[in-house]
Amino acid sequence: MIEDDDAHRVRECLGGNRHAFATLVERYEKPVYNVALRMLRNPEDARDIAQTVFLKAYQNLSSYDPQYKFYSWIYRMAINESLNILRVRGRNVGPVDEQYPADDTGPVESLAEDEDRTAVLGALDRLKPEYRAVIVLRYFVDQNYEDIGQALGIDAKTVKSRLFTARQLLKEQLAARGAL
Amino acid sequence: MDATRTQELIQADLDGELPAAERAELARRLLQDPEARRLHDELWRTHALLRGVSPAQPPAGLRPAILASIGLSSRSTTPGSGGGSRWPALRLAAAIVGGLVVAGIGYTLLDAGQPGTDLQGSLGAAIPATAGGQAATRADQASFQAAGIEARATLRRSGAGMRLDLELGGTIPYEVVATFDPGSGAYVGADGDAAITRGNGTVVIQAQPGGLVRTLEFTGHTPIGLQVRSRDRVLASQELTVGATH
Repeated sequence: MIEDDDAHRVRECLGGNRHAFATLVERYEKPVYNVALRMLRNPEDARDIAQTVFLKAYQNLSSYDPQYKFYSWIYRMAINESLNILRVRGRNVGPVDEQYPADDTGPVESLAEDEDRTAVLGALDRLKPEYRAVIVLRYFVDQNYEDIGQALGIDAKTVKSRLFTARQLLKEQLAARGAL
Repeated sequence: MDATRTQELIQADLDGELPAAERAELARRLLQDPEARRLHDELWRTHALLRGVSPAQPPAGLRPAILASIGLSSRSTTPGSGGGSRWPALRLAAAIVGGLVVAGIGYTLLDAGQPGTDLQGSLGAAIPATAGGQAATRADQASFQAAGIEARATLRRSGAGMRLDLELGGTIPYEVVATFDPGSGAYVGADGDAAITRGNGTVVIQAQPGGLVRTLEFTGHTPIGLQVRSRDRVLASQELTVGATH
């Protein structure tokens, strides 16, 4: 289980092997970056947040409670850091175009996919942060109800309720954009 | 009809958390209520659109910057721990299996009849019937035959994602477990109402006696690990990677 290996790396690091933390960085760099990116839609902010999250995790490793999953702990930090930025800047965190690696899909397919992606990310931007957070954790880092609850500090019932409302709101946004 | 209950069932369906008994209840409700049907369809399309957004790659300089900020160099990463994957072992296994297939060395079939016996076979060659099963494989395709089980899997490109076509026949119940790296792709859903359980990076398909053909959709391009299991025993395992020609 990945959770067991995470816990093992944390213990190793706390035992003096700092290099064990590098594996955790390698393992979670991408999901943490994606959490921040989907919350803020700004690659520069996402990069800063990813750096801050890992630095804080490293500095506060002794306060990490191993009854929770390590990734829930750092996703929670990534969400909180994102919420802080949203609070400070209001809703004026401007989305910045992302660079996507080219794939081998044809031009028509690519265009349709770009349109879908733009519609989804635009609709996500319109959600309140608490709804955006459940969608980000569910869809972009594949967390289940329990994991989302741990990351957001809410119970599974609240996760389900928020997820349903968030999906309804997204559905309305996507319908308004002609994407459904 | 209780709309809240219908919504709960739709949500559980979207999240792959709907038990078989409740699946029948949802099907009944959708049949009787056009409004519920419309909601179900729209939420599934929303779900598919969300699943269609691929994970973004972090900038190349991010990891070295993080490691430098905590006083480690980028060479501190444990060898073999996987390129940014939450499933390093899977990545490593995929690389090994990919290498074996390319080199034409073969595959390992776990013996269904003799616990703990590994059988080595050449690529595409038949395993002796006494081994308990026959397997054939190439990078994007695998098939397995044993007493009571006949399973075939093909992985193809599908737009920006992949589709896994499964033909599951046989006379005994068994399950096929598909595992993938959730950091590189995601399971979107399957056609029909097959008994499918979804976990974090795992999809389990229950095959009952008779025939079952299912297509599973994934976003991203990630190796798919497949296992055929019966009575809690792994009968065969194979890693599939999407073929260049599909």
